[in-house]
Amino acid sequence: MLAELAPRRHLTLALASEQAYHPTMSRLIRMDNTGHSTLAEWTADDPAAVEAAVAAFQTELDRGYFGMVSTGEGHAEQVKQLPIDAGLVIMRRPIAGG
Amino acid sequence: MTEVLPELAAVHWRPRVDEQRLRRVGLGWTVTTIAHVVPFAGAGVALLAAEPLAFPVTLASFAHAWIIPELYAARGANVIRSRRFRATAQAERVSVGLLGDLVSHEARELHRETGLVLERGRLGVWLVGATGALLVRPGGKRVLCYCVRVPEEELPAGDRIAHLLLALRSDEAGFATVANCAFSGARWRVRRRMAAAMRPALDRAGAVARESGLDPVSNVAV
Repeated sequence: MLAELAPRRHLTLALASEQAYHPTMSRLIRMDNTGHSTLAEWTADDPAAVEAAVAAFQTELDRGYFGMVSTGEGHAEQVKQLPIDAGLVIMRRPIAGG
Repeated sequence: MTEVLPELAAVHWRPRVDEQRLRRVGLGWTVTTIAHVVPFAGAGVALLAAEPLAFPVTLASFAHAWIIPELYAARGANVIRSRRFRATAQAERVSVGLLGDLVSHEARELHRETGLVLERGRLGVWLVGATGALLVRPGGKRVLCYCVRVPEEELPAGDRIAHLLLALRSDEAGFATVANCAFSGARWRVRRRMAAAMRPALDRAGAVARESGLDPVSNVAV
């Protein structure tokens, strides 16, 4: 029983260690017909991931999406450039009066 | 970063909503209601006084005085009526998960029970649904019903609410400007026309609006 759990424990420790190394993994997501899709994940100390996220963000802007970040309870802001330090950036479609 | 809703460009002719404009809209709806009720009710009373045998005709007149305001209130309540969208059940679940990350525990619970998200704003207390939003004004007596949506057929309901919520949070007055006001009137009138499952959300919004019942302009309790 313990032997079966051991590999999982190693995996948990490995994940914890990885999270400790990358404490703030940011995500770029797009709200779409699947609920939402993760377009990019990055940390500020990974230039390649940041570059990929910036490119993904720009692609969505070109498709007519707006980038949004939460700025505290009950507040959000539209962003025109990917905020590297934001934890979560959400792409939304324009709204309209019905 | 910008604080003005980009969708305002599509309705550039509309003056931006503010406290004064909301009051004017509310007054306009009150005058409209009076203009419908008083002539029909007055005609009924006058006819009944002149000729009691014309009672059936006066009933029709009274019915008009009652039905027309009810139809307006129903139109207002319809903006948050539950609808089925083309999204899959899995997409609906995922979208509700994301929405849950955006709101407080209290709002999450209320959404689970009623399908509406309560959001406190500067103009009042909002109830956001998938195809519209209600604004309960400070004091909790008056409600404005806004028709506003995401023109994408396959988005799940949770994402639709999240779209509206993010837009509302980024520019509340801009959100109210982009949205079409379908009705403004007493909260009890809208409540009567809402689905029973959604009424607790309006009750809660009314209570919150009463608790924080300060007039945002004069800072006087209303």
